[in-house]
Amino acid sequence: FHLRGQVELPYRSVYVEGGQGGLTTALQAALRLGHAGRLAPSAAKAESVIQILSEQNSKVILSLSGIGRVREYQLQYRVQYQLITPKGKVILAPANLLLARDMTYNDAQVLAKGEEEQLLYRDMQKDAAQQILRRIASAH
Amino acid sequence: CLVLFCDAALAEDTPAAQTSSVLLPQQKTEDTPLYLHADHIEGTANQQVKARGNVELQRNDTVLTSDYLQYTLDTDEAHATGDVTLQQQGLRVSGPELRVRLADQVGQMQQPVYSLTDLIAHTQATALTRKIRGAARLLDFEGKGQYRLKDATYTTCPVNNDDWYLHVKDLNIDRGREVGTARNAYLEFKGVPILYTPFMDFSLNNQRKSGLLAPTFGTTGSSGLELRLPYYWNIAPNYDATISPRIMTKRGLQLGGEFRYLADSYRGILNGEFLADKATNTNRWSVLVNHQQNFAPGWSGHLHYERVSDNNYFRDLSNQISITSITNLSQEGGVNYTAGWWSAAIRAQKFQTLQDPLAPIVPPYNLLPQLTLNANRYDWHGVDFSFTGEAVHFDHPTLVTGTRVSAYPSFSMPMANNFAYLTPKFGVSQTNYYLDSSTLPNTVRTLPITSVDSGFYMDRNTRLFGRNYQQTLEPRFFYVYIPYQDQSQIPNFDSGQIDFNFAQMFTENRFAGGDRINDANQLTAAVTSRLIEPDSGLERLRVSLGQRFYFAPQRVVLPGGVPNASTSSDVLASVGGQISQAWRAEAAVQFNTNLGASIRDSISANYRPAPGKTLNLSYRIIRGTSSLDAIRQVDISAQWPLAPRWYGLMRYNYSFVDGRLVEGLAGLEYNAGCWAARGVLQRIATATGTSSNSFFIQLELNGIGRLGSNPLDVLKQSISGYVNTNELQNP
Repeated sequence: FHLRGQVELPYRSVYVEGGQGGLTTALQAALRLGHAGRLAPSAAKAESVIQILSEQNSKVILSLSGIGRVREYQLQYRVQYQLITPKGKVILAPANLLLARDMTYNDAQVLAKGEEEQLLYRDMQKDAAQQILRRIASAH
Repeated sequence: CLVLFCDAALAEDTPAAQTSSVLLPQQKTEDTPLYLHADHIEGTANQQVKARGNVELQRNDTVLTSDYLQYTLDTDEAHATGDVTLQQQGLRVSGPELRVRLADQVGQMQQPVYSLTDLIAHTQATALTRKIRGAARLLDFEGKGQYRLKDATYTTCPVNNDDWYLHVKDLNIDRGREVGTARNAYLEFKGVPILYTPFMDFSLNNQRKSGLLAPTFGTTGSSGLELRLPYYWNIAPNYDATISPRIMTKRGLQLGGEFRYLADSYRGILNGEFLADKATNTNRWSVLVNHQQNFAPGWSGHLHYERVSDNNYFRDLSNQISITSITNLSQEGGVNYTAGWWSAAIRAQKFQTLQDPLAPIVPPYNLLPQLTLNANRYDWHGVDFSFTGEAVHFDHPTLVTGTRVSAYPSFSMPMANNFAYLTPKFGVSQTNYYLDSSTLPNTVRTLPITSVDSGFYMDRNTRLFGRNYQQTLEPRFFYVYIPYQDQSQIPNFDSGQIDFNFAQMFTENRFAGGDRINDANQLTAAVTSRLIEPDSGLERLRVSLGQRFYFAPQRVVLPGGVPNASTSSDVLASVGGQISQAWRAEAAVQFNTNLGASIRDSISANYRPAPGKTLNLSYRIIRGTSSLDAIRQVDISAQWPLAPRWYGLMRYNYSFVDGRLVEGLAGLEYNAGCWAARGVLQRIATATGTSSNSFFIQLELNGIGRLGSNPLDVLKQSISGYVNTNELQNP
């Protein structure tokens, strides 16, 4: 193993477009910090643009107690993105990423569990940002 | 003046063996000419043309072939006899005789046999078409793309397969709107008439269309025999409704309806059900309203209201475990404002808690109301600022109520290069309680929160199972310091302990909600290694290991909790990923070093080699003190082809802790190409000591019933990866 870096982006500047917040922020932070100021201030000034086409949160029951109450949920976060040039030429065709986290559940703690859910979605958004940048680094 | 252009003589004595080809003059109503080919053509110039033997008349996309054809020029009428076939735009009709005016396409055919091919779906690789076919006593051509069939049959089954037919007195096919309308129709399945309707219409190309959805027939232990006949009403492109009458022998008639709407700035669903229940002698109902709206740039609002008549509503009337397991129904509304770097929201939320009489829970607090203010400014001279503020009034019928006002400003200085990062962060959390007439004091809690997050990345190229991978090694360290403050006099409005996992390890507070902030002097150490495909950048496998070390005992607890003096946390380990296109596997362990035993284990695998072939396996354990918080379960579900056209469906979810089946499902699906039938036997645990058994059968005829309704919903939820075999390319 050697220190080499998380990903080496083949673009001097990248703009992030679309998305509902968490993922966009995580991508921007990664581009600004981990990639030495490669975050472009606008799409026109960027060499490439990451477009978040859709983000979807869903929740499926993972396990139930013997009395039929939910004991664990799986939270799923699905994101579709593509990489284009500022003029709209596609560099990386729309790609999907699915992340999942397991969470115990208790009906008596619906408020606390709601907040825990948000924490896990934020965690998945950061994870997704890393995976998207890694794919983009390989895609040129 | 009309002239016939011909390359063969028009004279009567032209040898029959010679093929004639005639171009008829342009008609006034059409831009394109008529082409006529036949073994033998004769005609009176400008009046009538007679053709014999292998006649083919062509104009635009219409081709007419027959043994004999007489065409009258001034009336534009073609009269074809003997093995007549007309083809236009995917429609093909054959019969002994046809009279039609070619330009306006008005005419009649006796004893036609027809087929209609329509594009119903288009994917990048293939165009999926559906073929409709049938016969009739009489076909009326009623203008371009308009056909009326008398005493007709209609099926989507291929030739030589007569599994089902729709017999229609009067069938209108409109190619312009791609709609079929039937009057006085009955359905014959395997020779048995099964359904009569005075009127029905259906889409020819599988678009949204008003009409009956696939009916479901079944039986449940608590409701008896039942029949659902859902009707879909496509009101407008952005409005639709589904009306679902459901007859249950033990309970009576339940009426259900759902209305959906969608516009540029708002969207929503209204859903309601009503049943005058014979079994309980009560009126039973449910209501769901969901509305989302954008008022102006930055401004949005939402309303969500869900309520049912009684605690047992879902348990008695649903066979979906995702519904019978619902305990809290939310009733909330709010308005949000977002201005780029800051946002504010006001929200009110109440709950209806559906109690299991043998295992009641304390209902959650209502938020009446909640105000939040959040702001984030990034990279101001290298510093990120963050502010979260909240004021909530917690309301409850039996517990302590009051208002909590909190603010948490913080700043961090993220530093990073492309192989390492270091983020020191400092903030102050301030919380004030204003309790309503309580013996508890109005606490003020002020806590400074300091943390440092750091890590670095290493990688190497490696070979595994004959393939090249990039392997990463990512150690991460997270230190938190928060001083202790006694919080035992603070009520618990909305707080709970977060699961110990890789996300929680890197947060400052192990409690969700605002009522407890842990005292911390702790360091989390974790390492992650990934295998990445170098050419695609796809992550194939991830291995993680982590533990937290406490330099001081953890004294802050939730009511009823016990302080923890241990110097280290459980060890977390996990491995998993999308190993190949077909395989996904995951295993995780939470190991307690003090007990020398694991606290939480799970292992799961999904195998999906092709659509329609799905196998899911999982085994999960959570050690707990009672059967209420412990889990030891096996869960197997599958959809698998058993023989050509036959698919098996199953789920087996068994709880060893409770010694009972949580959900059992067995089903068979038969896909005949133009119809599919499925039968599903199911047992689910609904409450303490109570299970619900049900059996459902459904017949789906391609091109008539639209998808939806039970038991498909059950299958989609119970068998992860289930696909309706009708959506697969037919065998």
